[in-house]
Amino acid sequence: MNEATSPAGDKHPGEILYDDQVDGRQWTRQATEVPQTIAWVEMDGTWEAVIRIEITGTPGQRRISKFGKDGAFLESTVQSPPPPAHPQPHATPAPTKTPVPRPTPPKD
Amino acid sequence: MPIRKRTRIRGERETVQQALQVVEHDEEADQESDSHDAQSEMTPQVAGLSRNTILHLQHSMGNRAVARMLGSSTTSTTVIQRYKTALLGSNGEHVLDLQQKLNKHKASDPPLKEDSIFGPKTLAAVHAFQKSKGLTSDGIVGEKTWAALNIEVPAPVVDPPALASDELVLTTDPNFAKSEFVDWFKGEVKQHLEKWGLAPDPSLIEFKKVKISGVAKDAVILKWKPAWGPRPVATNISFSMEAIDAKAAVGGMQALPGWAKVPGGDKTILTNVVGGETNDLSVATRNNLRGKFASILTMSEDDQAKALKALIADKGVGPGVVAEQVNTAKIEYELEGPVAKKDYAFRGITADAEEWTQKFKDGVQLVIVAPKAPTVGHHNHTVQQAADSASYLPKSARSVINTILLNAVTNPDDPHWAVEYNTPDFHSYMTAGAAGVVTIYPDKSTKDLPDDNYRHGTMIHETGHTWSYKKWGTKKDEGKWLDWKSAMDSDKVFVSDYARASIAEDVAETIQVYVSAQNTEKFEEYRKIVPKRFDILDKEYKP
Repeated sequence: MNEATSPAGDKHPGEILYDDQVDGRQWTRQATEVPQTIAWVEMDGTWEAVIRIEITGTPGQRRISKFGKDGAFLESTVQSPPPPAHPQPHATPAPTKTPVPRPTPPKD
Repeated sequence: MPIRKRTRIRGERETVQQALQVVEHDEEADQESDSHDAQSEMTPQVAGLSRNTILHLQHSMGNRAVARMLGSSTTSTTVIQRYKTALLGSNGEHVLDLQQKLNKHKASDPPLKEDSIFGPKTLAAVHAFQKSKGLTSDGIVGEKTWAALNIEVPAPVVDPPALASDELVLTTDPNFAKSEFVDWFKGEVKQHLEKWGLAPDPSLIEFKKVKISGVAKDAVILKWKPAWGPRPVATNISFSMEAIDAKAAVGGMQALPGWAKVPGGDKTILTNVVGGETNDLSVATRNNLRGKFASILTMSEDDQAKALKALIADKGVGPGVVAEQVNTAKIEYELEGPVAKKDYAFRGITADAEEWTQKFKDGVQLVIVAPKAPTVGHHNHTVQQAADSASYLPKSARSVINTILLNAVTNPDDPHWAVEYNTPDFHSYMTAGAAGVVTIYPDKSTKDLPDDNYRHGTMIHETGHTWSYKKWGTKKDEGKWLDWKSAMDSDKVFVSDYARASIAEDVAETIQVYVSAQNTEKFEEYRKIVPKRFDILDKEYKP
């Protein structure tokens, strides 16, 4: 059994189209070239062959959506977010400045 | 009115003793009424009589009679003026005094004319006053009525004016709502107006007492000038002055000569997207515009219009991804378990697991699966955290998922993507599948897992994908996908750059905003910015 075969022994149609909408590139891979987890998705106890992979999002955080036969949606995975900027922004807005009273200078 | 009994001494033949008897006899009647002819009171201890006795006599007989009766000349008796009865027809200074006092007590509306003449209006006021004080309402102003009139009317509490419709509250915080802070507020407002080419007016900021929601408060108030743009929606302005910045940006943008060259529909879009006071998209758009506003001011009208239209069309204007605080109401739930699961098939590994059941109050149930023991070196969210995130999902989203899987190891796909994208640390965070499973992966490299809000938001986004594909199918050139496309074309604006990536991402990002912003002012702001998409979600998604 190789990557072109599902864990249950199903045969993959053979080719997977990679459609990268972030970089604007498209390329193909043979199911035999990729890990089984890329080429197959389990759906309610059966294994569905991945025919197309759509890559969206941004270069720093890609989203990988897998589609099967007849374009059926299989699953979508989001990459971990980039590390937050330090210091981490507050969840709620804070005053930009705290007013400080300006005492009037004493007169001579 | 009690019958008035008067004791008159007709001649000096009557003795003091007789008079005292009469006084005694009439005492009860005198207590009922305060109307006397008495005009003065004598000093005590005259002719061997006590002060009280003489006062009684004065009340009943009149001062002059008592003086005559006592056989004393005025040389031996000091007479002090005390009150003078006033009644219909009276006139003179005491009536003027009466009218002034009645007016002070607001006994007549409109106030009496202070003309020293006791006419019908004064009479009516006297009746009203006597009634209000529980006195006999006989219209005659005697000792008791004078006494009541002489009670000082407390100074009226000055009711501060209610906040006017063009006034904004800069602060009511007792620490800062003080006159010495007014200059600081003037400086802040000035900065925010001048950045948008608008002229500040420091005289419109003042410290004063105003009534806010029925309560008098010290406040620093800004009177909003229409020339600065539309009045902010927020009445209470935060120290960051975001609401002022928002509307000043609109005012500045609309004051540009090139504004006239922006098409009408785009004007509405720009006004809404630049003028949002609280939402992230508007803040990001304003920050983008602020950076180039000075140079836009120097451009030709055509170029100004072009620069403004770019705020709608260009990538990099809005936020990278939706990161709004999730404000939707949590659904209550109970977590039952765990139930041990031997050799559970996690993604990429088989290991013992624990299974929990999350029962929501609205009847929806989810299963949460976690490894029995964490894999060494892997850090993941807890079952409680996963359950908490799920409780923020609307029913429509929870209905398309059945399991949350806290995976035992990182996504087995990661090494493949690390090679494809030459990104050695490529790391998946969450997967949502058509089968209804949401998988959250542990992190090997750091304990700094994304925070609660990111986890909630991502789950809303991911389940948004599952929901849209399940409900609308995967052919994005037909059915509801086409409706969404039309809505995108009409709205023109995207809630984030990520949403520009594809129609599927636009749906998921818009759903994230739609759910996160619930119960906040942001929600209505976004509704104005992406109205057609919100219309579809109102019908289809229903939080």
